[in-house]
Amino acid sequence: MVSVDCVPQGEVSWTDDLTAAYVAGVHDAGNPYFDFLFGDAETATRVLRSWVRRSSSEVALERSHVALADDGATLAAGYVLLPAEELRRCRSADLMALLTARGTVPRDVLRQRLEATRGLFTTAEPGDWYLSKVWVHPSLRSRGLARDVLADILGRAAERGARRVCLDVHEEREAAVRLYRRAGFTIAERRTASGGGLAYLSMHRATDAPTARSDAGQA
Amino acid sequence: MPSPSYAEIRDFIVSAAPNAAARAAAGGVDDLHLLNAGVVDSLGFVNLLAAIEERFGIEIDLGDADPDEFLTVGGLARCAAAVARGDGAAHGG
Repeated sequence: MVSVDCVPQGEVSWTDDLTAAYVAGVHDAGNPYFDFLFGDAETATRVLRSWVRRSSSEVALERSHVALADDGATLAAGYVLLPAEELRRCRSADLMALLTARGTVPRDVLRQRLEATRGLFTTAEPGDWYLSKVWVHPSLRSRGLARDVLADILGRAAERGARRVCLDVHEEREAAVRLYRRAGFTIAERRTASGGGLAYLSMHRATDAPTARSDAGQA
Repeated sequence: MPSPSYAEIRDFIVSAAPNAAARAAAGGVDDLHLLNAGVVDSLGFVNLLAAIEERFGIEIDLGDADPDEFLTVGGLARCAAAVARGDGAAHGG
């Protein structure tokens, strides 16, 4: 039996193993975009290792929502849920971190990749909360965990006064798209990048609809 | 050729980002935060860097720079002017 037990933000004891598991989850959830932007999986992992320790990052450890497996020591799942304005600040900060980090992506290359992916993701509006980096540990998939995580997400967004939850999902993640649709998300737009062969679906869901919610931990 | 001055570079930034002047406080554009004020987005900032480099023939390395500094109009102009003089955290091209 596996259940979702989201740990309150800021109360996770981030050991090296847990941090590595979180980086792996974020990397997987952010692909294929991350590997396109950073050039390869190794570089992406290296950059994400530094980003998760920066408090201004979208994927900062302290900003993450994670669930522990029943053993209490394994990360089972995670996600990031941010209001539109905070998301914008975090993503800008992440890009600035990339610009100031030597030995990652040369600026002219980064510029080309940013140009190629401009408009790939939805622009959250005031009142929207943006959901990103949703992942479940590979060994715990197909057990309904993602559904419970999503219920936690929607409940949390409603508590925080979100008008709408928005997300972008890679169109080839068919199981995720099905999950979101079953939870009431609708596809607003299909967005493509001129480089990298990337196509993402922008989805959103109003938060005023009743939502079944697990008794997950509170932030 | 003499190195471009701080004022020249600042004026170029303002001309390259046309809404900078409109968004600046009455005191001037120097303290205007390019991202927070919505003058440019992240990609726009990268493009602005490239435009400065091309215009003044320099290469700006932000490796040791503080984003709180270089993201303002004045800070970015100071950073680029230092590079142009040859005493910045980067080198002239």
